[in-house]
Amino acid sequence: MSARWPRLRLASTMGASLVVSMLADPWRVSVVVGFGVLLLLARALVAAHGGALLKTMLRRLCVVNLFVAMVWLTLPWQLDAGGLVLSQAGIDLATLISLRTNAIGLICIGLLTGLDAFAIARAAAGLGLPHKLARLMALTVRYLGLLQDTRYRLERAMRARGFRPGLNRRTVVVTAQLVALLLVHAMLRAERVEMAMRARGFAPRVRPEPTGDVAAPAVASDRVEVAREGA
Amino acid sequence: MPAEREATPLIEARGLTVRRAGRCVIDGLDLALHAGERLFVVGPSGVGKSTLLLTLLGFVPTDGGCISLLGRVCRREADFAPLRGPIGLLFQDANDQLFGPTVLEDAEFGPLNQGLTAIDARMHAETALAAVGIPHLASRPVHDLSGGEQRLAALAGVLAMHPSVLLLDEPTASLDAEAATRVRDALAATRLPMLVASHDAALIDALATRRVELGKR
Amino acid sequence: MHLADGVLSAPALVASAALAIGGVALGLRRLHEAQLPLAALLGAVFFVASTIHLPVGVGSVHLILNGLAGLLLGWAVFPVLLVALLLQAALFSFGGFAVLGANLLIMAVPAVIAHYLLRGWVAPPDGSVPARGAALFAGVAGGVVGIGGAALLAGALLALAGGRMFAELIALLALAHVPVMIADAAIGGFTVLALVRMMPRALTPVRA
Repeated sequence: MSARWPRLRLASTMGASLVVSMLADPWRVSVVVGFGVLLLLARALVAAHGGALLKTMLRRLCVVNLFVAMVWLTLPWQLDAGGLVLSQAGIDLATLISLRTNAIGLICIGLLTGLDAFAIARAAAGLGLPHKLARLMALTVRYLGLLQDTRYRLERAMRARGFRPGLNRRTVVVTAQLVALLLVHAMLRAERVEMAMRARGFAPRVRPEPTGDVAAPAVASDRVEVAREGA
Repeated sequence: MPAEREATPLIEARGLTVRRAGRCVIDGLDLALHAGERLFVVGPSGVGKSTLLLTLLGFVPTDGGCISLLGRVCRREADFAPLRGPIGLLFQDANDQLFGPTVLEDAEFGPLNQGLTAIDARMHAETALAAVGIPHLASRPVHDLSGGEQRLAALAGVLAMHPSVLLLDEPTASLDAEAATRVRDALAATRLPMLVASHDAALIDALATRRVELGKR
Repeated sequence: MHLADGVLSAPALVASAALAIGGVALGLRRLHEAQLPLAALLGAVFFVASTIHLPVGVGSVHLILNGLAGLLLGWAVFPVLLVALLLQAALFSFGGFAVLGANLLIMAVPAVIAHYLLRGWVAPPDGSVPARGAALFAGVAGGVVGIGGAALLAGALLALAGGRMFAELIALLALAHVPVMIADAAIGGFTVLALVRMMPRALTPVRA
């Protein structure tokens, strides 16, 4: 089950999110919640490492309920002349929201756990994203692994030189330096990618833009040339 | 240099076992580095030399065996953490290590982590840059260095922490002859005991006092 | 801080989705095919950055850096953040699908505003390298505009959807954004400063 039918799973999740978001009857939503719970249990039973999978899914459910917790902290209460007072309307709305959020969350977790970033990107592209957006998503997912690896290596080397994060100015400066380094790595790689593309004959197409951005691609590559000369 | 054998090794591993993805990368290895030694770990690519160095400083979890550093047994992160600095690790890829923004500030990173004041950290950093022969690169941004310069800058960053032992992962890999010579000379000049993973014959000939082949028990 | 599925009413969802689609369309038009790898790389950086956290006592505060992303990307921040939000919803259940449009507006509109307000500070029109003070200011302001704007928009959407009932929730959300704003402003400021010192051209990667 783990990696099959990704497009159907993604489409179903999105559809379910939309439909359940519009439901206003708590009883109907409860039915969906029940279905969601069954879905989770079914997956845990069928899976090879059911226990681990269930733990992962329950952890995601906790993330979903962080917001629900905030809702319960605020909606049912009203600050009155006499102090803090429970409001029935608030409780009803909080209940509806909790049910909706959990119903959608359960379906999302039940259907999508086990799909990695690459699978999600392919599924989304297969569902009809505009070409540029699909390409952007595929590229982002590809570079995600690379940047995560870079970050991990940098943090490991930082620890090898005795760095320990804490609540102090130095940690802020060092963390900012880490972010800046990631950006620099990304920029340098982007420049290399562009050179590699051009080395294989790719020429930026100049599309006429009503806003007058005709020069934009040329500017981007000029910047690379100037930057390389200046570096 | 005569090898002085003291009772307690600086670094010791007994029965060290590391598994990754089901494969046994290091299998029951016994290893000891004594004062005054320059121990070279040799073997083909992929045999686990890098993994060994990372494991010795607590960056890779072990599946068996025991590690002691500077006489202390190390099991958990809390055991390893204070020894990073006294034992300096040079990573295989200098890019992992160079933090920046400039070469001098990168060299200051370690001393600042050790709690030195800004002034003392700067002094340690400047001394380290001079020791490896790159004081002229002090204000260069770290991403703007050649391969050899990166390696020397990374080494300076480790030396600035005044380590008493060095762990070096392929210190001359991907370097041209001239850069490799500079690294070799810088390492010899430190006069520190070191554990080096390398298959550079010239480096081994110049520095090694003992060698150990991984892949053989 | 993302809104979860199931909170907003149908009209709020539809309206925010429509506006978000408009923003994405505009961003895609401004992003040329040759710039896709760059946008993807920056998107990956900001996704990774959102998993970096500062320890605060027993807990931690995660970075968002939408202001910085907007500063660098301009309108292209819309499609780039869309990808990030989609992945966060699908992989971590952080945010949601029906509410994707709303969350995108909340993150991206302040980002674009930060771009137009602050780009002069990080890319002086005469082509010179920005001064340290200007860089620090731009980064800090980016964090304030990015997170402050996000809190305002989230509050506005909740008010639109639920009115008086959500008043305390809006207040709690606003309060929860404060530590995030402080973190983003501090990190953002020093990040822009570091970029100015290391690679000033990284501050204007995309012309959008």
